[in-house]
Amino acid sequence: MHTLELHKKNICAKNCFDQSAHYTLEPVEHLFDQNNTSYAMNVTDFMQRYPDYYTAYIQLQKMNRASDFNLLVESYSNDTLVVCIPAYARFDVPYLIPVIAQYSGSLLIGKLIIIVESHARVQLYEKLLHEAIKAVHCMIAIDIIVHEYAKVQYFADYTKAHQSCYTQHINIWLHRGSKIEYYGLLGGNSATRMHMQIHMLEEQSSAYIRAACVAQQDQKVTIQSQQHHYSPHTFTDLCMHGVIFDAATFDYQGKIIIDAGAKNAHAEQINKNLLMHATAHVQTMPTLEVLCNEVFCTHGSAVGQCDPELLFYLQSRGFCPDMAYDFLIRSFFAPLFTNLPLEDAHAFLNTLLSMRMK
Amino acid sequence: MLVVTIIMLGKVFMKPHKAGIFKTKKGLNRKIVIAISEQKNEPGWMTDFRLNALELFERMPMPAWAADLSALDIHDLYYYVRALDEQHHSWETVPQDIKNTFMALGIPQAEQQFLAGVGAQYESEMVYKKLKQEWADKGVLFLDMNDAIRDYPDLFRQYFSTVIPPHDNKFAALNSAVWSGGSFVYVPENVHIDMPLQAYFRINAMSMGQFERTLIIAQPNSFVHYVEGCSAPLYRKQSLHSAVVELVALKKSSIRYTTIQNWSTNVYNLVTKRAIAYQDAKVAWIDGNFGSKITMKYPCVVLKEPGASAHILSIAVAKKGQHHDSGGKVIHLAPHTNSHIVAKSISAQGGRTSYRGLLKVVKKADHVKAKVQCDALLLDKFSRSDTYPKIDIQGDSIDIEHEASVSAINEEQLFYLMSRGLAEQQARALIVNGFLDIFVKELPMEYAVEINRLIAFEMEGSIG
Repeated sequence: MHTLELHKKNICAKNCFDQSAHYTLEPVEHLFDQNNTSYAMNVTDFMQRYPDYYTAYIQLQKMNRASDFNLLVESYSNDTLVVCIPAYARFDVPYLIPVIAQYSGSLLIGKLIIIVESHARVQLYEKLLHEAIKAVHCMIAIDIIVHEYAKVQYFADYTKAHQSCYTQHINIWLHRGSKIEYYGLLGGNSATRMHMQIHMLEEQSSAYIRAACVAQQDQKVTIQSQQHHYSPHTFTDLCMHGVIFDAATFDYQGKIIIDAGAKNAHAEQINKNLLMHATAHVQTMPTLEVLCNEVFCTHGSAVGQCDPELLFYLQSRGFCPDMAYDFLIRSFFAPLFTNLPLEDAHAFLNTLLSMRMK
Repeated sequence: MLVVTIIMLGKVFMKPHKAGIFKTKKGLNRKIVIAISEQKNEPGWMTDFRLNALELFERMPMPAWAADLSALDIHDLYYYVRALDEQHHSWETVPQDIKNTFMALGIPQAEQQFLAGVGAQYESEMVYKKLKQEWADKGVLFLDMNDAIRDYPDLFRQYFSTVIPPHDNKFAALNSAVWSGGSFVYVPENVHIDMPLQAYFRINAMSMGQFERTLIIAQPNSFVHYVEGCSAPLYRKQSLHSAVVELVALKKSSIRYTTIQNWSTNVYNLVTKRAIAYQDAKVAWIDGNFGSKITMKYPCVVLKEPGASAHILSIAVAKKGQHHDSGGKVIHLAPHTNSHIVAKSISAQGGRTSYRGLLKVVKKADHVKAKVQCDALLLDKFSRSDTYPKIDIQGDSIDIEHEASVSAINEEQLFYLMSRGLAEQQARALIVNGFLDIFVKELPMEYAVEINRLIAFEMEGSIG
């Protein structure tokens, strides 16, 4: 994502650590609109500036079945960061949210609320950066609320912090006609636990989720996803690919719930995994709960290894074994990023392949 | 003819047989278990086995991870009812009222035409058992379990409860404590029984628990196809059917086990079925669930040695008040093993079907191929379908696929059929039949013709 790295207007959520064990997530640089008003704010400002949204947010939290983690995060995190993208805003560059784990042995707990108002178009880029030498445990709760006909592209990169444990709960709430595209790169941490819930609140909303994971050594990656269709004519498509090396463990639990009134809902869920070593372990459990008849629901999962015939073919054409493996892994991940511009897809694939190099 | 009758029995034969000649008191305790064992004149080790299992049953919690069993009162059941003094080997000697039931089901006629042997269980005991002389001469054993303990004690004890021990789950423990009836099948080496063996299970008494055990041992290079059918008249009070089925497929043998279950909708059907497949052996579970209030049944195959293969086909048709929580489990313990699970379900009139399955490959099992396919059809807005597959893989050079889908009847298919002159109801029935076609094809020809009629009967009022 070359366009992201040099972008100066960004939001930085940074953990501040002092001897009194005071951990916060705090905005250090803000993005301003034309009136020089910050899009990022704390909860107090949020309540004052957007009382209706705040009330609506509290209501959404009540219907969230997996809110224990949110409560935990809220009780420990002193400062919740709220980003409110105004209606009809158009961002031609991504909005960067780096989460920096700076201090060794620290515990980073934070909460991020992103509200995208109606008809806005925005790209958000969340990146976990790790500056500490020793392990850091990050617990991040993210709520993304996308209002009518807004469109969000969300990139999450958790590949840069090998010493840390990363636990994230991400809740996505979609209103009428809204759309989210989520691209996640996972597995850089010694232990990754991600819980994603997608709530299709109103008609014509759609979610397109793509996540790639490289797990190696003794890493443990646990991913839980839930696509909950409350309303008719909603669309979700989730696809998760994992490449598991060494003695790493990958555990995926996916669920699609179609409520009784959600006619013509369309839900897909795919999990494919490549096992690169005999000691690698994959557990996958994609589940469906369908309470409505006029729907289309499908899920699938596959576990396999690099095809020896393809490896042989590539080597017969001059690839060394490592290059042949890289080529096959790259082609395994490539379908996840077909909707992205070519250069961004290449950047993602390079990031994924470089993880194994490390 | 046979299948249709089996499926319809629950609805047709409402008239219960008169009370059994021996019946334990309602409820479950050590005295009841000892009384059952004494009635059967069992050896001491079996009584101890039953009592140990009872302790396990009492210690284990009720499973809360699947269907709702809160309405099942295990103390409001008769755990042993014997309708006849002795087992018969000719229909001529079976008492007329019991014989009428089985005649109406078409069992004696089918036996004449295309079955190698027939067993009929009425309440807790087998009332009829007969194997054609041709197969008896080749050393095939098709016995009541009580006869097997008495006549072949060493063989029985060598395999009994080795596949499903009492501590496996709560209902396996319950069955181990109070089991009665069932079939013992032994197929000697190199014997291929080319006609199916049929067992028929009937619960006729009210508030009755039926706990048969079936043990099938296929010696190397042998083949057997076992078909079981189940039914009961409809009562207001609950009944419980909790069977245990153990299959042992030795080297290069093949076992097919077909079930067509049509318990009435007051029966809780909580069954444990498992097979162990040794080198190059094949095991197929063909499982059709039409009746019962709640079914929890996950036929399992443990592929223990290289070259073994498993095929599980499970279909479920759930209507109002029914919940079928069924599926299949395959555990790959050895390299070069393969498995295929297909689950199809139809939910109509507010019924609920759930697929629950496990596919496990252990570390040393490489070059494994496995495929799981689940399809569900929802026929109306009141019904529900769930899918809970679990895939747990540790191994190298493996090829695992899983796919599932839930949908309504395809409008385009419907339109096409109607454009060819079919009425809407006919078109819907044809699509439903086509959806279950894979199950019909797995049945012997004599069953296959009738199963379509049976499905149409079950779907009456649900389609169109």
